[in-house]
Amino acid sequence: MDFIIDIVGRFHPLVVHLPIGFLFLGALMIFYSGNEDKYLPIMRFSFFWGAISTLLALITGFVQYNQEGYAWEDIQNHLIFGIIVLIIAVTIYLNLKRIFFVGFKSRKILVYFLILSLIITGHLGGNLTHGKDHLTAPLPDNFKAILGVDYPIKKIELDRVTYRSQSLYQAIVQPVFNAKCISCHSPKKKKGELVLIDYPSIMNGGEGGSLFSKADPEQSLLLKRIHLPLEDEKHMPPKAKVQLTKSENVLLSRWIAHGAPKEASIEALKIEEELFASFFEKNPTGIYPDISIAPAENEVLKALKKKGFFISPIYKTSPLLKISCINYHDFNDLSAQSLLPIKEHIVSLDLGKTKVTDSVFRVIQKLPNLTVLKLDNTKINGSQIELLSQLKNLKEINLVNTDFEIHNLTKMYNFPTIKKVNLFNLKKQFNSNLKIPDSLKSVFLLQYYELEKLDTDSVVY
Amino acid sequence: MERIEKLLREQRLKNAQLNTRRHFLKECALGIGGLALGSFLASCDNKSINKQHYLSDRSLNPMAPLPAPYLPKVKSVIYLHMVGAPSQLEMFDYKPELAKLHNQPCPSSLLDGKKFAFIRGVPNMLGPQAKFARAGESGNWISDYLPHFKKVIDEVAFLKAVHTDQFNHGPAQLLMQTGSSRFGRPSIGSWVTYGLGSENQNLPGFVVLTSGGTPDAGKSVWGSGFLPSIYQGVQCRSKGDPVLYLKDPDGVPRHLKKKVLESINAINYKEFLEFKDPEVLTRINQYEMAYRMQTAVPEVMNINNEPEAIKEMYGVEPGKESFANNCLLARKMVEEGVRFVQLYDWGWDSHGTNHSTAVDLGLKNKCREIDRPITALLLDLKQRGLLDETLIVWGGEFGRTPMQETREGRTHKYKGRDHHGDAFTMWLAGGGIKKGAVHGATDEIGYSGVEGRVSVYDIQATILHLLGFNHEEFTYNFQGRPFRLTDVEGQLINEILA
Repeated sequence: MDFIIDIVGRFHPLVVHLPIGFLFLGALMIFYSGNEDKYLPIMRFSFFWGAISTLLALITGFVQYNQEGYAWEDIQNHLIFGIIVLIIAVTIYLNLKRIFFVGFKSRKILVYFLILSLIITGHLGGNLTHGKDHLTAPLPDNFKAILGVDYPIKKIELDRVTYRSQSLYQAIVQPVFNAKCISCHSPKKKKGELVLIDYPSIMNGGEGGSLFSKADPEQSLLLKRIHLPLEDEKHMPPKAKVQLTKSENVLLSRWIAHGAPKEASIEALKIEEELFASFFEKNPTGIYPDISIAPAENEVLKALKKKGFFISPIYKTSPLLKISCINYHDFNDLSAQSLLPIKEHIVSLDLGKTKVTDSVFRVIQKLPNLTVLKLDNTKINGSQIELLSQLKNLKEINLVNTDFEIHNLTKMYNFPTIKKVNLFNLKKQFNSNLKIPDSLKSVFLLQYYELEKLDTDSVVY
Repeated sequence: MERIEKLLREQRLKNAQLNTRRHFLKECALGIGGLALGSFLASCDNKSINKQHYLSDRSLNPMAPLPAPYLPKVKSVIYLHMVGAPSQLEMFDYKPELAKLHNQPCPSSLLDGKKFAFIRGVPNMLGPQAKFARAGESGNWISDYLPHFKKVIDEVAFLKAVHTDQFNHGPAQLLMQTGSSRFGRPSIGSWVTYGLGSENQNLPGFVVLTSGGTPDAGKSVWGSGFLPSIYQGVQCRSKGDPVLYLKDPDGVPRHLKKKVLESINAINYKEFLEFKDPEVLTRINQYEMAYRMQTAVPEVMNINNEPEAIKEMYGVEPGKESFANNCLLARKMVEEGVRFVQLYDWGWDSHGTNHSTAVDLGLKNKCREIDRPITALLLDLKQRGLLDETLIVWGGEFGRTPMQETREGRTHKYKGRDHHGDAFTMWLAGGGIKKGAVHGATDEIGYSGVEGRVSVYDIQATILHLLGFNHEEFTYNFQGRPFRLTDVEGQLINEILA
């Protein structure tokens, strides 16, 4: 029967809204009725049900606290204020029933307290379910800094095309301070009398005076403190906090070397692009095409998995799929047809060690997003490999230990996006007078490595 | 028989009578109300929406593959652990200044407040015993103990200032492999198979190959700690039966064994349904895996079928237990989709107490034993197009002192070095690694790191990163709190990432 208690607890978020309604209604009526008890029966009614529902909310809330493992520290104030609401509501109800008599004025003061504790209780409850930052989350970061609210560090992202026209201070310096300094150096905390929330405050410096040294920029206080060894007590940010990255470090030095300007653009300061590389938005799909498509049907995948395919998204939240026949060595040209329902999703296809021949290319050519294709240890000889030339994303083909015939290599020269073709073959070493154009030599890898025998190989010391 | 049929019919009839139309409507009203209520209450939950599109089910198979949280750079890892701690000063960390100090007493500034495993009193400095030269396009230093390795030096990224806080083998090996110097934590390979599962159904996801002996910390270095035990490393032997007790007992045909296993698993499954103990699932899956491994493992473990040229390249000795054999096996495993291959090579503890632990004699032999196989492994993976999707990690559990080891004030007959955790060299190669990079440097005598110091946790964080994990998010709840491989430490070594 434990589950009933559990369910009772789960009704707490619903029940809590009832006293809010009843008690607010009752409070409004007390204000509106002035010094005469115009709505007395309704007021009694409101406070009666208000008190009952408060009691219910307390009970369900307590059950929920017991069932769902909240920490006492987190809920204690919420509970205490809830009890205060109950006490005041009951007092007012008794007052309205004339069991406990106070004047109109005292009743109104009671009502003020009731509304106040009701709001506090509700707010604390909301903090529990929606998080403490629910109300402050939409505020701009500057406001948060002024209020002293902690907020998640926003990743600094620059646009590869337009970043050069931005000012270095706006694009990098202030965002770095925002991310890694102002949790302690804001108007609220002001550690070392230093505030770093905007340009004037940065220029003001702190206890130790100005952050910048015009005579020797490298000796500027700001840089000195950042460059101290991590173990040093004066190192900033403190050891336990998130540290500046290497490029952030270098960019700060460069900014100071240029006299810590507010407006000067990255272009004007002539800072090399590689220092910003880590701020450019990264392509999360790597070598695979960056497309957003609806995910494939789970039912279709289930059927394919049953056949023996290994299927996995390229990473957890991606719709793009990696298919492998690692457990499906009977895969042949005909079985390839079964992949067509998910042709858009396949970006990596491993048919190594299967029974495929060149006619499988008729199906593979229909996989528009295919990027990596593995055909190692198969009977592929390349007679129909030209069919793949229409694939606009194909970057890597593995043809290791296949029956690939070297004269078919030329068919791949015009593959639009090809980056790497592994052709190593144990059985036949391709003759070296094959003329691959210089520009493609790094693409078609025929290497066959050997290790020479050395005299030292057999010396035992 | 007929009576049972009758009873079953009756049961169906009663059931139909119970579930009348009125009953259906009544249930629906409550049910729909409940559904609606459920969606109201859901808004009180502030968990973010999970964007995962595809189902991945582990309820019955704990080894079922899971996608990595982030786009991985590599599919597999080959971890080459030199048990005993190889001397960085004779292999990769060139210290000409140390040669000048050879045989001079060690300055007390290096000894004050330091603890050594064996050194007591004031030892003499010991100059590098190997000759060093620059090699490859990167021009990185390499000693003449490793003549073949020159050929692949541009493929690897060196970490020259790795440090650890353990100076005894067992704890240091545990720290390196499990993130804690004490017993009880899962090894990296276990974490990885727990997080990613195994793609090949017929082979274990985490294979361990040893040569020369078992690491000092015992099999805990590939243990699963508090993770379900299915994630522990499976030790395969390169001599005799690859996996012990895998063969069918005499007189028991394979199909009979299958029947027996099926019935045992059925009973175990009932037990699982009753108690929900993940170890029961482990048991079921171990039986199934063992059955499938019976054919797959001997095949992948058989190096005799490899072409002569490949055998020669690695320098294998079929039928023996050797590091070279294990390197070739590692390549075969990775080719078959094994996730984590862990090699342990024993015999690197160069104290100088005898011939085989002398840095100018025995260490040379150890280097010869690994030089050709490791070079071959890198080249072989490269020519097969596998190097880009495999990560190779090489290292020991710590490094060795720039001082000659002395025990009770007496210098050994042979040249040797004591354990040293402040600075030693490791290297990584393969997918996602910056080729030819060197990160970190030691002082003039190789005693401590002066820049780019990285900890054991940093290396673990980097390995997990390349496999598609954020080491800070990859946790397992145990005894009331989430655990991480890197505990509360670890920073990505961005300097060696491509």
